[in-house]
Formats: sequence, structure tokens, C-alpha cells
Amino acid sequence: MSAYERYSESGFPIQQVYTAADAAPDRADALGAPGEFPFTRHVRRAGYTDRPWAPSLYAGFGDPEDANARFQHLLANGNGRVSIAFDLPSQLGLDSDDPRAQHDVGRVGVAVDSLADFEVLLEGVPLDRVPVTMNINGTAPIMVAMLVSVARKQGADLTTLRGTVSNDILHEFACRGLHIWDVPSSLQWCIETADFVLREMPNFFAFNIRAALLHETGGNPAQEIGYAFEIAACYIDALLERGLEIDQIAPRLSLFFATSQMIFEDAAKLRAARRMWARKMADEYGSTDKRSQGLRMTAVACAGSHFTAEQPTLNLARSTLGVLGAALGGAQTMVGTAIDEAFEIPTQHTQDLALGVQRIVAKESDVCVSVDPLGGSYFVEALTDATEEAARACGREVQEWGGIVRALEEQRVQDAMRERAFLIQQEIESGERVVVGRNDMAVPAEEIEVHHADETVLPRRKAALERVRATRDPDRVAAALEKVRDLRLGQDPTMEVLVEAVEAYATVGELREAMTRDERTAGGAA
Amino acid sequence: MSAPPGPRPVPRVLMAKPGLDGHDRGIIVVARALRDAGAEVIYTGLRAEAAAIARTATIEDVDVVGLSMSGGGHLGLTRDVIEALRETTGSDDLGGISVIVGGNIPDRDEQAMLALGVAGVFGQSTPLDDVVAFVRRHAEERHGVPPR
Repeated sequence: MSAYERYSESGFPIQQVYTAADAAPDRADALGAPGEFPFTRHVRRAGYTDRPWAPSLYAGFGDPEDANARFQHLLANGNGRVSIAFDLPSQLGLDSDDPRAQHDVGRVGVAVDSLADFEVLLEGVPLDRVPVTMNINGTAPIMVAMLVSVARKQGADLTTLRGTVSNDILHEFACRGLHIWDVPSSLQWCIETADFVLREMPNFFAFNIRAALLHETGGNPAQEIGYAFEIAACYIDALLERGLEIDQIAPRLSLFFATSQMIFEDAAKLRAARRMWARKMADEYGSTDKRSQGLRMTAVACAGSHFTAEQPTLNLARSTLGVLGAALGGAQTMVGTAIDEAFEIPTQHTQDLALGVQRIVAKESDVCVSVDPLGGSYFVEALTDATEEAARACGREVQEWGGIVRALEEQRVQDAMRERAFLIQQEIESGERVVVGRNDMAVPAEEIEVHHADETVLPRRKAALERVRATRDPDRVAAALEKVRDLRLGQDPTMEVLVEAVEAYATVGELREAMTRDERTAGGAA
Repeated sequence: MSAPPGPRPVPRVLMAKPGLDGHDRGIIVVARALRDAGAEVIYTGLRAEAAAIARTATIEDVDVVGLSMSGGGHLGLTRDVIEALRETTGSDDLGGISVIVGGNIPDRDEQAMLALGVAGVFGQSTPLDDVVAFVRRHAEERHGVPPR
């Protein structure tokens, strides 16, 4: 009988069989109880036994009215919040009539050019009752200002707002390319935004660190945790320098992980991340507060890079595996990828299917009847231990590269992930990595109804922008933008100045220009 | 009597990401495969503008321009690049440059892309060897090397 040889996604060997003898001697301490340090088993004592995770599908496309309609539909179908996908121009601070934006307006998200659009976007969404997630990084300061303005107009106290702003600019340099300025300038605005949220919005998360995108770029689970934690530490350190305490910061920082078809390794990933975070907060930052130590997580179940164009219906099975892995790992909220991921943004129908998968796993299965059902599994505990060890090694790697900022500027993190992306492609083409429907099992061609972008969105957005420019008070806008230009970050009341500017109906593009401190730091969008 | 086959030309490829989308995993993987296969690959980086893509393609005398697009605007973006190439090369056949595309291109748009003048749509399921083979074949055609 030949020796069994199998490796995890993170690269460490997997045994054919695990037994009690494989358990580390300090297993019980290393696990802890659910809701107790080091939170390996779950961040809450009751886990899902009293309530399952919250689905949090994001949506957005076209005009603000279109996005609003989808939000309402999703809320009615069990989505736990409004989660906004902004279009690329809005994410980069380009107005819909900017020539550079013309082919991207309203396609992968909703177009927001000014407060006028944001008001329509959140029509009928009471901010003191419905959590709102803003998936926004480069222009996070602007969108938070708009949110604050809408909340005030609704008469909602900022302290009652629940939700999240992802505000993770560093991962844009690693994965998505939607950064506006260079790393140092981008970080300044990011921290400025976080500072305001942490001080003024006690029920709102100032960060949702996008580890999942590291996965999508090619990172393995250990890299996903290791690099993401270095990103988190960068933000935390910057805020500590501004006089905030660790226990003011960490409780409102969450992480966003990817799950895939690897249910056991993914559950182990989330468990390892919680333990590593708890230890980091206690050992490196001296926190004894459970709310800092207990890491809250979102998961994208399943990450879209795994979904095939071939026979898209099969992606429902991939969805299910991703949800299962995230549930077995104890995520608090879950984004759901739709089966048409390879083609377009989701339709209402495919989002309903994604929600349905989450509800089936949550309510029809027994995943939620006891906390951390995989706890004590010889296999999963071994995976958890090994993943934590490998993730720590990735964190040390970043330190050797001179810290996360330098590592990103020098493309070290990016190259490490790209290396693996190429390897994965080779594994798929050799058949070593099975993709059913592509290299395993011939499947029939399958046509599904796919989202049709409304090609009349661009002229409508341009017309709306013209109306805003024509009806606002030009002196008021000019004065407000001047104040934005003069802002001294870290000293002046930045968010109030931004709120004043958005309420004067300054456009996203005008704001971005006013926020640009030095043309040389503007990377392509300015 | 036919001339003996000439040396295989080193294919020159310009890989570009037009539009605002920043997902570059695919284009980096394809560029790597092409380089490993001996092609010379220039990558524009993100947010490449049509005029700049065309200028670089012409100055660098590339055989193939590869566009990777995942933001949904592939029809308009491709049209702009091909139009710009027409201008910089001064010819309808784009100086023999072949334009291929990849990324998130729904099946329903494939015909429209071909009608724009795209030589091939290489979606996410395409084996890397297919892209390499296309590039090699086209480079040979462009340099008048008879097919083997």
C-alpha cells in the first residue's frame, strides 16, 4: 500500500486518518469554551443555537432607484441588512459624466454622484432599525459623510446606526486596484474615517477587513489570515497613535473571509483566525476585553472564483458547501454568491436562490443545534492548529518584508498570491484540481437568464448630475470644497467638513479632487 | 520550389486592462503563461486608456493585443480600443494586430465582440495553451512565416 500523500490548501500535509493520539496535550485550553478566550469554538457562548448567522447579500446596479428596489426585495426575503455595492466610478471618486467612467457607470454597482443619489438609495430604509453595510474603501470618507447626512435628515441619532463600512484601503493595493492615492495618503483618509466612526457611531463597525479578496487573488488560507491580520494591525496601530484605546477599536473591527468547497479546512480557518486574533489582542495589545478578543466575521459563501461558467446550476452545490464551511466555522454574517457569477452581477432570481441556500442550511439542517459541532474532531482540530501555525508564519513573512505597507508597495504580498494563482490554474488544467463540468464530467451547455445592464443608465445619470449642478448653490459648494481642500487630517473635524460639502451637493468627483493633497500621490484616477 | 520555413518569430503581446476594473488575477496568469512560452509580453497595468493602449501596441509592434475585462463594459471598451488601433496604425486591418479578449464576458455577447473585430473570446475556462497557441499562430501569420 503506497503512502497517502495529500496537502491542505495552505500547504501542510493531511493525514489519511487522525486519532485521539494526534490531539495536542493542551487541547482543552487551546480551544476554550464558546464565547470565552481564546474563542476558537465561537465568538458567542450560544453560537447559532438561539439565532443563525445573518445573510447579508450585497446589491447595487444602475440608478439609485433600481438598487433601492433590490434592497427592499432582499430585506423582504430574509436578507438581514442593506449592503451596498457601489459602481466602479463611485468607488474611485469619478462622476458619472467623467470620460474615464463612461463604460463602467452603474454596471457592477449603483452609481452615486452626490447626496441626491444617496438619499434615493436609502429611501424607506430606517437607519435606526436596519443595519447598512457600505462596501466602500477609497471613497469611504465621502460615503460615510453621506450616510451621516441621511441619518440626520431621517432624525436618526448616529449612536443608533448599526452596520459596517469596509474601509479597507490596504487590500485595494493587494487585490482590487481601486485605490485613489498612494498608500500613505490613502491610509490617512482611511484612519480619519475610522476615527470618526469609532468616536461618534458606537454601534457601527469602522472596518470590515477584506481577507476574502486575498483568497480571490490566489492566497491560501494561511496567507488570507496572516496578511489580513497585518493589515488590521496597521489600522489599529495608526488609531492607537491618535489616542484611541485598543478596546475602543477592536470591538468594531470585523474580518471578511472566503469559504469554498473545502468545508473542513475553511471551518478550521475561521476557528484558527478567532484563536489567533484573541491571542494577538491579549498578548500584543494587552486587551482583556472580550469584545476586543472575540473576532466577528463575515464570510462570502462560496467565494466566486470557484463558480463555473459551465452548467451554472451546479454552482448551487458549491454555494451550499461554502455556506456549510462558513457555518461550521461560526461566521456572524454571510454574503452569498449567485450561480451566474461567471457572467454578470446577479439577477433577483439568482440572489433569491443564494438566500434560499443559506436558509436551508440554517433551518433545515442540524448545523445550528449545537455550538461548534466540529469541535473535538480529530481532523478539524489538527487543521485548526496547523492553519494557525501557518498563518503566524505568513505574518512573520510580512514583518521580514518590512511591514505590510512596504510589502504592498514592493508587490511582495501580491507576487506571493499571484504565484499561487498560476499554480492553481496549472492544477486545474492538469486535472489535479477537479472542477466538475470543466475537467471532470462532460456537462451539457446550459443557458440561464443573466442580468441585462440597462444601457440607458449612463444618459440618465448624466442628466441627473446636470440637474444637481444646475440647482445647487454654487457659492455654497465652492466654499465647502475650499474647506475640504484646507483640511488638516488628524487635526480638523474632517467628517463635519465633508458632511457640509455633501450637503451642499458637491459631487463625488469634486470631493475626490478636493481631497487630493498632492497630484503626485494620485494614482491614475485624479 | 517553396522556401524553407523561416525562424519562428518571437510573439509580441500587449496585455491591457482598459476601464476601471482592477481584477488582474486572470491577466497576470495569462501573461505569465505567454512569457513561459517564450513570448515578449508588455502589461499596461490598470486603468489603461484606449489611446495609450493603441499607441503602445503600435510603437512596440505587437502581434496581439489582449484585453481583460470584468466590469461589464467590455463591448464599449473593446470598440474604443479597436477604433484607437485603427487610428494609430492607419489601417482597417490594424497593421495585422489581432485583438483578443478575456474576463467576464457573457456568452450572449460573444457574437457582438467578434463583430467588433475581436479575433477570439478566451473566457475563464480557456486552457492557457489555447491562448499560447493562438498567439504563436498569429505571430507567424503576421510575419509571413508559413504554417507548419
